[in-house]
Amino acid sequence: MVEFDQTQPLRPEPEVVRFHGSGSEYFQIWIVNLLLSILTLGIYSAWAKVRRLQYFYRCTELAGASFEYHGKPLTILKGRIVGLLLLLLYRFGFKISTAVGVLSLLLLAALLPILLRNSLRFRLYNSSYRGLRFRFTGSAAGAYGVFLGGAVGSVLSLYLLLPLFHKLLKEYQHDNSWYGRTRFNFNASVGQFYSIYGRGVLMFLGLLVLLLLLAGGAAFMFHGLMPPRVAGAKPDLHAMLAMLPFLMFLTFVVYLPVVFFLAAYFGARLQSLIWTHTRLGEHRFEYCLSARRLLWIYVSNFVGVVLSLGFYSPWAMVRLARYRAESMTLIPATPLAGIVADEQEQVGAIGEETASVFDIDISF
Amino acid sequence: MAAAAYYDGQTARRYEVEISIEGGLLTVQGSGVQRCEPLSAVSISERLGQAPRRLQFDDGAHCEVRDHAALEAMLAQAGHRQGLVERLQHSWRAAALSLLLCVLAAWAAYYWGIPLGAQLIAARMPPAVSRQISDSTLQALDQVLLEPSKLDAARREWLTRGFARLHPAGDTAVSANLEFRSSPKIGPNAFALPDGSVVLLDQLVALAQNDDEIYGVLAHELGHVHYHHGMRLLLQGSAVALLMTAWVGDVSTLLATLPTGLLQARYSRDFEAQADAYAADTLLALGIPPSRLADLLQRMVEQRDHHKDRTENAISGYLSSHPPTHERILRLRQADARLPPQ
Repeated sequence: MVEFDQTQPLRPEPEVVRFHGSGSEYFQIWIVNLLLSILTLGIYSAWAKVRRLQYFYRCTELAGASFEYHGKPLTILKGRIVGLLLLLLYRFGFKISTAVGVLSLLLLAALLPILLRNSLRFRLYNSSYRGLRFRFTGSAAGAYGVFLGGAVGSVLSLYLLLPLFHKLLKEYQHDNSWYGRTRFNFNASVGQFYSIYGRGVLMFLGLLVLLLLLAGGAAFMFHGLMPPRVAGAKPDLHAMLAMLPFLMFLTFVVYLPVVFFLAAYFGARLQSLIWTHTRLGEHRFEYCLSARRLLWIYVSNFVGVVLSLGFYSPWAMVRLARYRAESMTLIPATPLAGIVADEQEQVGAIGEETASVFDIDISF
Repeated sequence: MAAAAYYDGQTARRYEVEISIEGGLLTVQGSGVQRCEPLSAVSISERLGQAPRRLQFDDGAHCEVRDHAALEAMLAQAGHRQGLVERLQHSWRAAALSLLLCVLAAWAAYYWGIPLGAQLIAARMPPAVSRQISDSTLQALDQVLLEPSKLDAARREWLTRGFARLHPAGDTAVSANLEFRSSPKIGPNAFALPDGSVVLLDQLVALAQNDDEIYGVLAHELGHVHYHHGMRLLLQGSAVALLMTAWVGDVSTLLATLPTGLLQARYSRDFEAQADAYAADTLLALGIPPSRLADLLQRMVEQRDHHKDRTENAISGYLSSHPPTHERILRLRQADARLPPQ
């Protein structure tokens, strides 16, 4: 006979993620670290990055416990130096000569998958919750497949296979992620990716036609204002300046709306799909980002950052982080206390093992 | 005493505990946990706003504390000192001062830092690098904008010989060679490449009323070569673009490129003035009045204005009636006064 225990309900309550950060609080941290970064010609920015991530991780709370970031500034600094060298090579390679340019591109293509894999590994290994670290165990071969193979395959297929490669990338990323001894797994279908991409492209085309009609009308109006190709004393700065109003108009009426729309639609739909189809062991997630809310946050943040010449960004970052975090719900299959208890036994050694695996954090 | 959550680092279980610090010892007690460690063996995370703080033990266990006031009082009593950055991060006065200093630093970098850095690097750039940059630039231009020159060999020979006279004695930085091209698309112009080659367009030769005017322009281009302006502009442009991307790049890359162009305009204006001054000195040394260069500039401006539509808008009207070109012309004409008496 099974006894019914009221203190251990069979269906535990979903746990909603909470975010406790505030813009003004983060502004104080951000501005002091920004100044120190400037005064040290960027070197201190590694320390600033650690503080930023620590602040955002610690402000994120799930079931009464917060997350923690463990990255070390010196490791990040090392990663940034490598990243900067690669960036310089990429930027100036073709200016020096075609051979150097092609060589640097090949070098980048050969290195990037490994660097990206290591960056995932670094980020997860340095994240913890309730004293247990996350891990990433994706293989190098897998990284070449999804990053290099995916990029080349998407281009060769004229982007028709992009949704498939996106799905494979997420599979690689989530199926190889662990929390303690429990593995994440990813089960969205290719069809779901194609459906989101397909609707996105259709909406994008509709929006583009509408906006181009608008811009076409404007171009007609601006036409008379443009000077003919001038025989100026120096490269045509004046002609460029004369075109500026039209360029600004084109930017604000066509380019920005399209970019914001794409970012909000794909950001919301794909992230919701991906996390709703990710499991941690038996436990599910629910992630409901609304494209409209996201669009509003993007646009208002953009306006705020532009009008404040960049100094609104701490508030902008906090707003976005809050909306993203609070849209996430963990749906435990068994009582949360139970999940926690199950994972207690064999975690210790794994944490030690991985201590030396990460190499560099490449992300800027 | 402060309430805290204790995690042992081996399991994800949460223990509700109370912590206290006495006599340099941190005591953790509650939910079956009983632990006592010297405070010096515990790493105490710095405070970041209202985010929970961590007290990390050597063996991977940690305490999460949200009661900031109680923890800070205990730490203060135990003689634990806050770091300087930690204190600055929680002061509005420090935030205001940092804001002011950040703006000042950006200003200083734009006016002095970037130009100075570019100047130092450009002067030490290996000649092989600038030669390769110049070769690929000229190749690219030849494909798109430039055509072979239609000047006859004698005329070219004459101009090349005149060009050689413009080189100041003993200036090894300037060892330029003269390239002849034609370009109806660009119009009357001449330009210097980073390695010191100067490209002279047929259209400029046609516009000039005498050879001294052409030498004026060539001396001006040699000024660009002498001061490494081509390389400096390349480096400064890259630096400005990089910094703008770092500043607002995550908002929009386009937002980063728009002001970048405007910010660079000032740099090239400074370089024109510097090259004019160099040209004036070169011409004066040869007994050519610097106003010859001014005459040609004047004609270029007139030709451009002549081409302009009447429906021009206020902005470009303002810019062309108020361009630095007029100042340049004026300054070159004033330099005539420095000609030695005949």
